[in-house]
Amino acid sequence: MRPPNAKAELTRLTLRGRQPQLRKWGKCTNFDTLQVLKITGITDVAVLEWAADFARFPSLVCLGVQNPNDDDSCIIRFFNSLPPLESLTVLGVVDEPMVHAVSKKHATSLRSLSLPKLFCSADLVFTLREQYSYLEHLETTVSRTEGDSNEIAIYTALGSHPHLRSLRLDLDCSVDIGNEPRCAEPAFDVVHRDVNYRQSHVQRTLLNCALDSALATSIFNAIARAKPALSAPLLRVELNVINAGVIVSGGRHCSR
Amino acid sequence: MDPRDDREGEVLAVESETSRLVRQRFEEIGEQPSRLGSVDAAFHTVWPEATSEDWREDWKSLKLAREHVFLDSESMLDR
Repeated sequence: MRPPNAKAELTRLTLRGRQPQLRKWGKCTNFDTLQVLKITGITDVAVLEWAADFARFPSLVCLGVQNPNDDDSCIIRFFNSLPPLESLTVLGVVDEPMVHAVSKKHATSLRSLSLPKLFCSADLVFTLREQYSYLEHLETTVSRTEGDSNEIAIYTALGSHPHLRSLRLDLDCSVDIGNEPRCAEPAFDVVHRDVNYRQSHVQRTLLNCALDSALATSIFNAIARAKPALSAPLLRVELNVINAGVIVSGGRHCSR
Repeated sequence: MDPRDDREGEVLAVESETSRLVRQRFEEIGEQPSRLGSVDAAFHTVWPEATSEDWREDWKSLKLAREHVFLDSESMLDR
């Protein structure tokens, strides 16, 4: 039985909310034994600042955390304060510099990496392979571009991960109008009302969103075919359509 | 999975639980498919063979580009 005033020795702790009371939990919980920590919904970066500067989690192997704002310096400092992790989930905005920063401490230990808001190009997938050589599970976002060679290149790059056995891919089906007239321009509304212009966006949206068992199998095979010889076989790919009907220009959502 | 873990097996595509539950709910309440409206022209441009009253039965995925290449190669060989 636990002596009076002794801290609880939890192995798992999940905190939800905008300002999770990690410091208060630290007063009654021995963080030395904590193996799994999940902190979601944070909007206040002070929680991570305190964790990085004052808390220690020597037994932690699995972390799920919300990135509360656009300034990554604090969350990266938190990552660097931790022991090498086996599993990491980062909710919220994740960009390439953060991927590099995380790798400094956790590259060789991570087996599972979930970055659902990271938009992966083929080059970035290859970078992940170089930095996180032992990944067995990856969760990320792939932009659908009507199944063209750019999209296939991403699947092929994913297959090049020798240890990867399972994937969860959010298939971003938004239509990027790229160099077409920008939403900020006065002429945009006029152009956007143009029937043909709008119809081409709808067609591209339909083509991107049309995910059935045949395409799911094709995507699985495109990844599996690219697996190097003697690498771990691909066992599972979970596909999820996101951003259907969204039009973006330079990464900015213009309309739904 | 094959116990030797080194043999290629068949690929099984399964609808996700969330998708299945939503679809079954629509079927249970007898919900009619929403009208395509302004999307109708684009829909029939993408799938010109669509003839069913329920557009949800008429669409299918576009093949990945590489498969187009494979198919083209095969058709060339057939000639």
